[in-house]
Amino acid sequence: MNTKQAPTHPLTQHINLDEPLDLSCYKEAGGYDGFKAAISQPSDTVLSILKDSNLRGRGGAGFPTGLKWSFVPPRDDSGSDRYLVVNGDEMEPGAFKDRWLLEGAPHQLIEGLLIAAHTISATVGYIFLRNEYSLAADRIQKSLDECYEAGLLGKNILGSSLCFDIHIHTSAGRYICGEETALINSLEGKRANPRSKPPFPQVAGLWGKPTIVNNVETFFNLPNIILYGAEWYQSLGRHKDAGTKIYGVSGRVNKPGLWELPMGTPIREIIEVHAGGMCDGYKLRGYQPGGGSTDFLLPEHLDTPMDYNEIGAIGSRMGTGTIIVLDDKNCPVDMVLNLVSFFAQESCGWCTPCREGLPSATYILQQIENGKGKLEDLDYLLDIVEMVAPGNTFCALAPGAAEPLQSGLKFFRDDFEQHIKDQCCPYH
Amino acid sequence: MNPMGNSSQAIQASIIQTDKRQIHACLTEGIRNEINHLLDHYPQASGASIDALKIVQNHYGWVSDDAINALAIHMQLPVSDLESVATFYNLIFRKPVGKILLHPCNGISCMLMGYRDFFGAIQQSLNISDGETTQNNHFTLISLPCLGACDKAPVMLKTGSGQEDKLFTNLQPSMVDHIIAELEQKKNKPRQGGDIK
Ligand SMILES: Cc1cc2nc3c(=O)[nH]c(=O)nc-3n(C[C@H](O)[C@H](O)[C@H](O)COP(=O)(O)O)c2cc1C
Ligand code: SF4
Ligand code: FES
Repeated sequence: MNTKQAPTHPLTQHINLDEPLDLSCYKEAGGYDGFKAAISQPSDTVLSILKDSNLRGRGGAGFPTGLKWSFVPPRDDSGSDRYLVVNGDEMEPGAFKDRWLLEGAPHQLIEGLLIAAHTISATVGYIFLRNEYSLAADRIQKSLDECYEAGLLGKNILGSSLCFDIHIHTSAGRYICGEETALINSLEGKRANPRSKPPFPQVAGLWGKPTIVNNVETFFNLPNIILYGAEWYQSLGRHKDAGTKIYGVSGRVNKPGLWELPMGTPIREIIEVHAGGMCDGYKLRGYQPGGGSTDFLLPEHLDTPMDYNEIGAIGSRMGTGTIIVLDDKNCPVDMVLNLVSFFAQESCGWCTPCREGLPSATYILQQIENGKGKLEDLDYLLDIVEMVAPGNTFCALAPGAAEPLQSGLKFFRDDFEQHIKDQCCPYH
Repeated sequence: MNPMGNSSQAIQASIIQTDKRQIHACLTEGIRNEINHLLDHYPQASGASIDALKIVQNHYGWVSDDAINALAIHMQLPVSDLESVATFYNLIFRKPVGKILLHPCNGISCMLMGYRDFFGAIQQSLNISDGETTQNNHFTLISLPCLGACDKAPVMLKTGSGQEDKLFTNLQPSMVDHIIAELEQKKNKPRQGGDIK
């Protein structure tokens, strides 16, 4: 346990968007102390701290990170490679949190990777970035160069037995690359179709070797968990889940943006206090709590804590934690159309329900929005929702597309019906 | 002994010659060095496919059939593998594009904040639709999904080979003419650090 004052904002304390801290400034501010603490302990101990911390993956599914890592088989003497992958694809509609971290504090990401490398005996790390994040790529590369020079990467890091290299891979634009097994195929230079599980990547991932894929924000959590302990980390949350979380709001609010807040902060506080509430002349109709692939929620849900289980209990998902606000002057049908057509376009085409179902849904939504809808179209849309339900498709892309569609049909049914009755969009 | 031996060897040699010429024509030494450097990052050459396609594109603006053939020979990968990758990813261009690529974001937050009006204005100003290139080859317009800057919506990303990326934020239709004029002016300014070495 560290005696220094624990940070209140462990994810963003080092963020500087104008010019991120270079290695010496980062170290001076306590950077790489978490890694030093990790490497002085056996990897089993580090893994149990992580498990006890209750850290859940920040990429959308909220899977417990320590548990995920524990599936990696123990190291044998074959010297064969084991991989770590940072998922920095961030193409979820309405999600913009990872960019902030990547551009603002690249050394904290590298430190997280080093801790993970020690824990699962990884040999190579890949930072997978979406193509558009070129500023992040440049800044991370600069930080990697500094680390190699200082002996923090490469062979026998800080005199230990740890040998670890990190490479940046910039993608070429496909949302499906964010799905972890599709990402692995993409890193191998293939089309990004997801793989069937099992085998899970932890056992047989990149080039058939044990591989851990985690979100950017997940890695950012690691240094302080190791430095200040599981108990401290748990105490940061306001509800059941541990730690802090990057929350964001976009849409017609006064101060759209991102904030690091205690896990479990109520939605109302995020929208009304941090985002400054709705802009003058606009009312809150509904919102997606965690990006484009999460079910709509209503004003009546505002007092729910933004916590994985709580949001799940009211029928949506925490997802990326970036809230998209629908105001009363934008058309809900149009919003659903925008989202579903995105998912249709980004379908990798591997399985039939997604490849055929999403374009059909897009077409029907277009007809309704353009004043050519029929009442039975709404039943067709519900059929498609069922067709792409979890379990009927190869990956979670299509079920994610169904979330705004089904909840949109449920909460904004009157709007859909009015489009059909009036044969026009009442908002345009 | 095969009576055709000599001439088949000659044919073989001439194929190798053509291959070499083909590689050299498309893949300059600078491009090859950059690709070779990336090959070190992966245990198998295929891992560098996407990077290699992007390196070629960064140099020429797009990826031609000749370039794919040359890459296949240089990286010792099947042409069909490279082709299948090149056609899967949205940002590998298999047709020539303009000097500057303009990518207005059509993601949900940008749509809610007025992307359509801005997009209408820029189409009108450039006199092209989505996916098209202006006659003078200066601009190609391709909408992209959420660019990860939703708090500054609507946004547009400017890219292009040899160009510095730039993100335009909080856009309004009235800003189009100013943006286009500014880009026309800077069009020929090379990217910091220059082109591929
Ligand atoms: C279609 C699709 C897109 C995804 N995109 C991302 C992404 O951009 N970034 C991310 O971290 N996870 C994304 N995920 C989730 C990943 O599959 C995976 O769960 C995550 O990277 C694991 O990291 P975590 O445990 O740290 O959350 C996506 C999943 C699906 C189905
Ligand atoms: S659900 Fe869609 S994206 Fe996922 S594997 Fe099937 S076709 Fe591909
Ligand atoms: S929706 Fe346009 S930047 Fe996210």
